[in-house]
Amino acid sequence: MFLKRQLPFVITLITSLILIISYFSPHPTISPLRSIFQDWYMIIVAFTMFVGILSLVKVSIKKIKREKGIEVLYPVITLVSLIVMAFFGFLKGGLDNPGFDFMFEYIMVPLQATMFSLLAFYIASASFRAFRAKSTMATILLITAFIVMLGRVPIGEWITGDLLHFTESSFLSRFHIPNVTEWIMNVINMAGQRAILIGAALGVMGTSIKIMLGIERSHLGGE
Amino acid sequence: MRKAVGVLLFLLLGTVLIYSSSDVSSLKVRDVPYDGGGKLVVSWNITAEEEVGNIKIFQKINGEDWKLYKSTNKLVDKMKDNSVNHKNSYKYKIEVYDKEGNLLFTKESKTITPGVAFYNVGKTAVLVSLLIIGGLIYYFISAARRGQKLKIRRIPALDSLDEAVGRATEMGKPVLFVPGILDVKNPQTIAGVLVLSEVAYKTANFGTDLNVPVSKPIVLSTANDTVKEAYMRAGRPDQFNDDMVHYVTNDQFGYVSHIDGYMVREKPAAVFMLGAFYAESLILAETGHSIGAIQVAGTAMPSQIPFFITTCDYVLIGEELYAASAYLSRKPDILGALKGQDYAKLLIMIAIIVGAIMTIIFPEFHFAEIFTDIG
Repeated sequence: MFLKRQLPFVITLITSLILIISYFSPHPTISPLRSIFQDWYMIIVAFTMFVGILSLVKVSIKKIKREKGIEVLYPVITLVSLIVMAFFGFLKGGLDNPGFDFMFEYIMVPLQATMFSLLAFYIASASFRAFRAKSTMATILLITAFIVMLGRVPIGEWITGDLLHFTESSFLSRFHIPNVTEWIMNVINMAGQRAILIGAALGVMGTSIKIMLGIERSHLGGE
Repeated sequence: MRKAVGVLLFLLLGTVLIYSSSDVSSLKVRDVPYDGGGKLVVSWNITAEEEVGNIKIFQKINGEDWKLYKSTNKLVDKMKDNSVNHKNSYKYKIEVYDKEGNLLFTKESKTITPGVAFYNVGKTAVLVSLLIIGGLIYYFISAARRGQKLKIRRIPALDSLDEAVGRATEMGKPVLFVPGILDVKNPQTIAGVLVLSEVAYKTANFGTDLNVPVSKPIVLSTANDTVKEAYMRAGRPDQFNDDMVHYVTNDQFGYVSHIDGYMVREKPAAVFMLGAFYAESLILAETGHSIGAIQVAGTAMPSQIPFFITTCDYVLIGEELYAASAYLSRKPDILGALKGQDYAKLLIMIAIIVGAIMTIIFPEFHFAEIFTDIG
């Protein structure tokens, strides 16, 4: 019980106190502790990679035994990819090995790009749902989004471009669509984002204090 | 009398001549305060009758030989020497040359040893804020422990937890929990794992399958222990298996493709996405939406929140993610922390309003810099 509950709590408390002190103290004996802890963290992360790979292999083998039909192919492809990539990675040259490099360039990168490109279609479908003017708030959202999108394309610049050319009044230039877009993004949008960030920062503080003082222990398996 | 006036005039003229012929150049070295003894600021101001061509700056460490540190042609400038060590003493010298390369004059600084500070005064605003907010949280935790009733606001996304898991149970479908793509160093991941504990407790009670794919191996150990303990807490350790929480890949889009594939094939009835998300948020949430799953999401990433709001049934916005574990567990001391957090937010709101008014009325006092100039 001590190893499972108390010891992790003691380590958490001491580590967090040292890190807080090292944030406020520039003294050469205290300040470097942050980077030392960071190094330790990286070493632990490197070891957990073995645990991760073991989990992946174990789950994939279980799936191969359990699944039938085409479903068996997915864990088989996962395991084969893992073994082949690791094999070439351990050969001479490591990450610069031609075999590894070839697979990364011509298999990994296109697959990543394919998944990422899905985002464009999903943004279109999500926008379609979000911008339906079903209520007053949704209508405001639709109008705001329309102005922002218009301000980011050349036609927005062209529509109200005359406001800049025919008058020297700086007041009228505020209604130039790209300027309205900038105002929406820098004032309204930024204010909302900062409110979320301040709240989140407080949440981080609250969670940290709870974990430091051992009030929150569910991640250690406590109640 | 004439003699006296003559002597006086001679002295006056002599003084003027002496000052006009000599340089009024200066070389100053000062220690950067409140640092670890690794910085000195060297500044010079050169005034010479002849046109200056080149200026050489030399450094002497612990009384050893002069070493050329830098060459410049700027007559007035300063530089920060970040190569110094608090264990050594330093002296600087400038040699000023004319266009032909003839030495005009030299100037030496005093010897200086960089000072070492234990506390960075520039971070006082952070320390004071930390103490006030920490104090508020501690006060409300103590109040909760004394038995004081604390009322906190309703968070619909968290009230929906039972609904989501219950729906999955009724449909006989699994529950999918995605704890984000960052590791446990990120507080959002920790907050997500804390909610996972409650979700796992409910799936254990309802006898529903739970699937937690993770993208960082270090999250695997944490999430696995959390789920295991939740099943034990629910009195259903027999239902727990190690495959519930499993590692997929560190690669962002590899992880997304795995979850998307799982969602399309297995069609989980409830999808929880709580943690740190980037571009994958919309891909995951849209796929979840397309299979008709009840979706609860939460993140403190401001750029991803709109995507979740558009596609998910319930969303924990920013701080609500961190409040989730307290809200769900209903334990008094954790609720106390949440209450303290709310009061801290009230203080910040007051500080912003007062600061804005003061900055408008007294712009010359630069009130905002108290909070922005952090050393």
